[in-house]
Amino acid sequence: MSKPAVLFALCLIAAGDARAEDGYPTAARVDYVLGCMAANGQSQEAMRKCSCSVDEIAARFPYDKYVAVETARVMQDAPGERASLVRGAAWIKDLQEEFRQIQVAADLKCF
Amino acid sequence: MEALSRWALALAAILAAGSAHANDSVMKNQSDPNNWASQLGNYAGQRYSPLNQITTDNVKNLQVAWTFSTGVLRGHEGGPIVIGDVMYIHTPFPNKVFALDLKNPGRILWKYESVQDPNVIPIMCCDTVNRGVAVADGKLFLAQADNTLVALDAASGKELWKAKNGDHTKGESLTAAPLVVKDKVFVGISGGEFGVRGHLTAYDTTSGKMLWRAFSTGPDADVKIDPAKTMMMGKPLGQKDLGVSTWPGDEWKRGGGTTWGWYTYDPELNLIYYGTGNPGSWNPTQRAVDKDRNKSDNKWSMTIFARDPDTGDAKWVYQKTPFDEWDFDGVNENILANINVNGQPRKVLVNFDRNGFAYTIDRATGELLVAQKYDPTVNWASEVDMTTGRPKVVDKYSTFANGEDKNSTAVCPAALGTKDQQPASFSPDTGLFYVPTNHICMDYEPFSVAYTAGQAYVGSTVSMYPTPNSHGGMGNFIAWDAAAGKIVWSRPERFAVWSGALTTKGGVAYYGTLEGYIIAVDMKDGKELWRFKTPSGIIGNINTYTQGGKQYIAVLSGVGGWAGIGLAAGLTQESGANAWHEAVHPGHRPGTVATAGLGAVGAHASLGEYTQLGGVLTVFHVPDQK
Repeated sequence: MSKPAVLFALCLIAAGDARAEDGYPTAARVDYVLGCMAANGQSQEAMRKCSCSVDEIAARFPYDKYVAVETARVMQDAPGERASLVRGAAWIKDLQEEFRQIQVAADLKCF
Repeated sequence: MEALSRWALALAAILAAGSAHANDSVMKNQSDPNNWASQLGNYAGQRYSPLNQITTDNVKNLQVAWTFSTGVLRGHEGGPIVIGDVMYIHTPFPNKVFALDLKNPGRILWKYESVQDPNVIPIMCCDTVNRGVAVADGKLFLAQADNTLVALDAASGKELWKAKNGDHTKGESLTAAPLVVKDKVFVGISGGEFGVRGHLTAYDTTSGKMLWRAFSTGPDADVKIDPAKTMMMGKPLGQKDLGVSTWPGDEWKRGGGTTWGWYTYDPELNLIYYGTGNPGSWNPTQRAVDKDRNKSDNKWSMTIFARDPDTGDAKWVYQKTPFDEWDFDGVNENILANINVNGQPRKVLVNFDRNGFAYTIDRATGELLVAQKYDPTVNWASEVDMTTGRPKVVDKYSTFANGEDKNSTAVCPAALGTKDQQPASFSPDTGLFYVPTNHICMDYEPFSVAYTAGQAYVGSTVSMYPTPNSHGGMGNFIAWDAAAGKIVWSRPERFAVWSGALTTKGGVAYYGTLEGYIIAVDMKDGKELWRFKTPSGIIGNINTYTQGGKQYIAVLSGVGGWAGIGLAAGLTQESGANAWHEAVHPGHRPGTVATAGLGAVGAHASLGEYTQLGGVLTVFHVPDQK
């Protein structure tokens, strides 16, 4: 148990907070690609398509907004009052819709 | 370091004065600034550390030192305890406890996992959270979700004793961190949405035997009130059994007043302080005596209690929201501080209530000194009458005046409060309080509800949204002057701030956000100095300690599942993607886009341990210069 924890810590340090010009940290892209590959297959081809997809998203959707969409997504799955907090916010709904459109466009282009 | 030794001296003085009263081991552990010995840092609940290695100048160099995954996905409240070279962390249900060796970061010394009835999960209103453990006399105390208070040997994790504090089939559960004073460990009860009857209970730390229980509602004998002695607003109560007479019929028996917040303690005055939650149902009409608000205080819900820990007797009480009509669940922490009010040094208690008022109270007598809004948009009451201590309710926002099945709109704050349980911090250096807040309003429509044991007893439809006509975000992090009753500075946040704050001698305050950022700000002006994105949202409390002479910052993050998979894989699910593709590109069959893929569920399974990042402890340091 201790080894993986320490290794993961080292990775984080090594990765630091490297960002591309569009503001997406490398870690955020890798995270997206891992999730995308988990749904589309653990293949070289899927990796290429998923990478293309996240690059498309990053080019059109600022990282700060991506973080908000990510947060809302998690909160919506939380139980009780917590979920109603994000469900009630119109700006979150709008942001999610905007993300969805950009994601669809990205997937259509890359897949 | 001069300040540090002064602080140590001051604490030593308290220790000497209080040694006959407090738990000696807790006092000793708290007086060593290298530890983070209790959830709120010290008995006073200040969440302040005299450590000053990390300063406004070098905080920008903070990096991850090590991390530890708890393996539990749900919301992680509370935080790590550090005593010497050992760190203790806990998780949401099933309430695992890990003892970690700080000399070899991440190495597990021992692990404890209880077996609990999963039927407790559905009766936990607001996620299966737990706000942490307490350590005293070589024992570790854990209040489990299933109402079991367990004492473990802090060195081995071995079970020493167990006590049953409640019954989940009646809607009762435990989420709060216990507090140890002398030979007693105190626990509260959760279940305010299930018509439970709240209480605070003292157990013997050695045997686990129940020593006393003080209810939040009912006859004076049950509440441990003596109307000739127990004070309110600086005077004896006078009237008897208000915990019965301010309720219709026997409604007090399901009268709420749960005690799931934080408990603080003043060793010199020998008083423990805590708040009671919302009264029974959220529908005020069902709690009204003769349909008259003036007869219906629903005592002692929404009340700050000051009790003698030896006997449980109530020294003084203050009801913040008599006859609640908004679920302003009054359990928030009472921070003890010595500040000047109107030029006079006062021993005060400061409470940032859910109802949006911050109260500064003389903690010896219960005299109300200051009560002001700590978010200017609070509208349900215009002010607090300083003679009676009662809020002046604005009729337009009175869900009782508007009536059952009527929607009261744009009430600020929302039921979640201007602040929820996440504890604030007090810095003796600046004399200011640093407060994580919500900036949310609501529509509230009460309706009639019948009571069934173990079933939700709510009776209101609530919809919440960011405060209108403001900055659009749902939170603020503020600095508060509790003597003047004024905001000193305020930092808007996009999401509500649900993590506990930390202040330090280094001039840096810390808090976390739902996005997962841990943010360091200058305590003077709130200017951001550093931020780092942890793997999940932060609703835990930030702590600091030293190990091997070096200062570390630690926080538990985790609000739920893995965000990345939700976003990246969400679109690929049958229900979502195909319909959407059809809508934007009619006739285009996105055959290759994951329709044959695994989807989010399968993706989680295939990712193994990576998906367990829901709960992660992250420890930061400033790396040594090379």
